Amino acid sequence: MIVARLVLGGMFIYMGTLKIMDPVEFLKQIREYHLAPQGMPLLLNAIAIAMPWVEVVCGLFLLAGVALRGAAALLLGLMLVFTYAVAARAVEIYRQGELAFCAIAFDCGCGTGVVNICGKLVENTLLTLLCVLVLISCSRRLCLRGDLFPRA
Amino acid sequence: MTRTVRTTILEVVAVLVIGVVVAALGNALSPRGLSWTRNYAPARMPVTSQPVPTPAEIATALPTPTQEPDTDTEADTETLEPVEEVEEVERPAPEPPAHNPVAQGIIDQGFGVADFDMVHALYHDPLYEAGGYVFVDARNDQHYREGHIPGAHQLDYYYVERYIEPVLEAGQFAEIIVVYCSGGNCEDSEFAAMELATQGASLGIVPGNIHVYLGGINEWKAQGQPVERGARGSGDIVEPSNG
Repeated sequence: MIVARLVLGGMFIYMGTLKIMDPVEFLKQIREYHLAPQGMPLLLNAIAIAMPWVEVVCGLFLLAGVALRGAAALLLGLMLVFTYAVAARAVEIYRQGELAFCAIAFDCGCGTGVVNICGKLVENTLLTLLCVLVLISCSRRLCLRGDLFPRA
Repeated sequence: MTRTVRTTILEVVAVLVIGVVVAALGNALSPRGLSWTRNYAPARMPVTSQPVPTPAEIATALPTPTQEPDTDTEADTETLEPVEEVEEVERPAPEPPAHNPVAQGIIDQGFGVADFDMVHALYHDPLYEAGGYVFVDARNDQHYREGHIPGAHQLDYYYVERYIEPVLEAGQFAEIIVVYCSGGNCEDSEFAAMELATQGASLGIVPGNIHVYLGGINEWKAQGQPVERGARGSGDIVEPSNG
């Protein structure tokens, strides 16, 4: 569980920081996913501005052992949405071209540049499973405040 | 709903609120911060004004380098240096942008589409040094400093308010403004052109004078043309290697 927190926390701090350093590039990438309607720039801009910082905050909370379930659930939600978006975009590319599915590579907007789609899906699946593990775990070892709101 | 689920939901909301507050602060303090409300991808607005002259029409309409400048207009003599007799620069007409939806979209807005031949001709025309033509690079600081068309102004579309004043100042006296970015799928040149037309309207900058160079800096470099590194006018020109 501690290893899962360290891996998750470290990964999201890293990826979030990369996006914070180049918010314009991240904005362009998430526009490709059509997550917000054309006439709602506020929603698109809010995602581009807030999401990287939310990732970093969640990563820090996981490392520090604060609000573990909340941070893990939030990251789980983000992982599900973006894994779906990345897969959908890969399927769209696959249908348009003659590339084998696992030969498809593009900049997913994850902050790490162009990635191979199959490798990205495997990575996202592992991170999703780690989120689930932290979410359901009852361990509170090495935590500052594992539960923000005491259960008992 | 069990207590665990309820407390988890409360934690999610709390973490999200903290994250958004930190994001707002970080975005406000960051020099790369974005605007919450600005529309960074404005919809194209087709215009019904006079058709934009083609590059061939522009070439034939412009005075050749051997012509005497018009002395009736004081402004022209103030801005144009005496033109020496130079070899006439050929300005071949590009192929019309058939079946190119990107180019057609640009034309529908009243802008022109420039190809390499036109840009190359304008670059080597004496009017370029005199300010009759203006090149605008719509990329960010890093890419601009790595190499831009010599003499091109920078207009980072995403932080346009920091860059637009000198571009408007140069553009209001220019006959042709060429806007480019990296080329390929890059839309920033088109967005920058739209911003120029909007903010430059009161200065007499009209869409018909603005051309988008779709090939961008990548094509310029692939054609073996020089690029200027660093700031505009730095003099750090990188010539294409011979052989």
